[in-house]
Amino acid sequence: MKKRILSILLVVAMAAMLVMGCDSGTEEPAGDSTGEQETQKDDGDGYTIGCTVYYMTEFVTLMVKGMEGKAEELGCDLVMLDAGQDAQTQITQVENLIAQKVDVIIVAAVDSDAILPAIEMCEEAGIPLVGVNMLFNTEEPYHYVGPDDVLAGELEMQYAIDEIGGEGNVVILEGPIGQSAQIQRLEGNQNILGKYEGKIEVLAQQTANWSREEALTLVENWLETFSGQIDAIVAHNDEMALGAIQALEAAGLSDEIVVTGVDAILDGCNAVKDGTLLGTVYQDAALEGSDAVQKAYDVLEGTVTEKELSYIDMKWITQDNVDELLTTIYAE
Amino acid sequence: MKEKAKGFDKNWIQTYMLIFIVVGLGVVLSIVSKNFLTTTNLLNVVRQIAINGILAIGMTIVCLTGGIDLSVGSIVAFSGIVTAGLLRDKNLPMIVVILLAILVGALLGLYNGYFIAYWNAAPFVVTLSMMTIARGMTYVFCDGRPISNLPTGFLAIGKGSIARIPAPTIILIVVFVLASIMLTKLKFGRYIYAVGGNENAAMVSGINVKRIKMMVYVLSGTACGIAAIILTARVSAGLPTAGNGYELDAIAATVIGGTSLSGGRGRLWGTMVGAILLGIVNNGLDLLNVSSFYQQIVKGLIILGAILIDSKRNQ
Repeated sequence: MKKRILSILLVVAMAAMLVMGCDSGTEEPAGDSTGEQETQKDDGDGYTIGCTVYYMTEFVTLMVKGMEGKAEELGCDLVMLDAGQDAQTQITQVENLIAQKVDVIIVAAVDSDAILPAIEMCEEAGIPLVGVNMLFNTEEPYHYVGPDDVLAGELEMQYAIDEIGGEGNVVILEGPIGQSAQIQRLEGNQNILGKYEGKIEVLAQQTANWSREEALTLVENWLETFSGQIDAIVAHNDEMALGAIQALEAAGLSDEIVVTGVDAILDGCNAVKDGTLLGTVYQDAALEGSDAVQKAYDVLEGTVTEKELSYIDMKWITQDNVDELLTTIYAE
Repeated sequence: MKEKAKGFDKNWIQTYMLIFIVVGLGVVLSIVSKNFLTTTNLLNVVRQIAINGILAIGMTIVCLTGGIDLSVGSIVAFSGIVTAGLLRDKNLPMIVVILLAILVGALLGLYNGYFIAYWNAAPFVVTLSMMTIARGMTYVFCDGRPISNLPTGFLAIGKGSIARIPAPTIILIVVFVLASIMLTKLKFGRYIYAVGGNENAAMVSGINVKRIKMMVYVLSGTACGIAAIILTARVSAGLPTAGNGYELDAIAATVIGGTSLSGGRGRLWGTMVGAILLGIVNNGLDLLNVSSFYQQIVKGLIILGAILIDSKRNQ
């Protein structure tokens, strides 16, 4: 019996240590920055910015770095939470941020619809809300900083069509249906396709859910179905473009079919350098993050009052300028 | 008989220990974070644990028979998407929609229960199959798109409150009270323990073991239906991706609460405290700005700690 009580006590002690351990573990870096901010707080700044992001993807990690940099520059504290791709968790985190009395909340939404209750909660609490990267599905105006996905869709379609000489057949690999990036990139694709009516035919368009594997299977099937007809594959992100490239390589068609993508992830850039990917659209994640923090700060300072969508610039990356990325953000 | 009484006694020690841990954690958190011990935050915590709490109640009942239900997350998604679809497209009274959502959950649970009880299939495999079937049905039902623009009256289930107590919490309390009465006061509840404790003995003593084994999955499915309603109201949309991995949290709360995965032993009380513990840990680590990567590690260690106590007790 004594042994048992002892073991239970040990577990309690362990649990307590865990909590404290975690606390001190994170407090050290946080402690340092608050130390710096304390001095800056005297200047009247030192807001606490709460943030919840959908998931720590490679892109979001870069975005968060941009946010941290900007927050430090402005002398603000940044509370960063990760919703693990669960919409309910994100709502929970917004509740927790409000309870924490942060000054402003930045949200990279898990889902454009499911984030709407958060808008209401923030309004009730009198805390401004800034969206980043993912649009909210609402008619009401809101603060937002994000990619110009329509432009991205236009760029990748335009360059693909140019490469095949303004005439031919394309297939489109879409993002998950209903996500703002998919909707907008497709809108961009269609803006360009509208100009080539009668010359360019879309043989097929289907989602591969941002996934390399799914795209690989899908393109394999398309190559079978539309044997010899496809001239270009336009993918809504690089992952899917890379899946398409694998399918083309396996079928020995790499030189005959053009592939374009969006995101300019490391693997995408390497593919551009190798010449297997015609081009990709670069969305500067760090800039997006730092712009979002800047906007949140401006809202608090009262210099931004009008709720509007701000888009960051999108850049077309080809073999000519891909080294700019490979030697900077992807240097290591 | 003496052995059994002793077993229950130990169980209670663990439950009290848990309460002690929860209170201790609360004290620590209120010292290190000035935002923890506020009314708003505590109300947040009890609202946030409602979904997992309800799923964990269903899970506990299943575990008492020695089973497991891996399909709860997917059933939540499917019931949720059906709820959202009915609300948006059909002009049905809200109460009808709610009952239908619960019925959908119960029916999917019936599928689990039928194959487990009458085909003697392993619960792990049957519910795994349901996990992917229900997820697939969810995507088919909504074509992969979220269903939004739900009536405001319905959303009140997620964010409304009565006397400051959040609506999801009230639902959790009702489910808890009903399930407790069932397990402790009704013959059916005692049969569940009997089946989990020793299936052969239960059969010999005339209990319809197959029926009991089937019904626990129906109950778990029902819990999923209820949780789905809260979830859908909370995020104001039916989401095909909802509920991903919720089975793990429900199992975690159950195990932390001292319910044995081999069946026959466990209490809903413990499960509730387990759910509260997980909720407080999540909330506290959010408030302390601990990265969610670490949160997962902490959660894993807590589950391990609970299992170690359990296996120690079984020796």
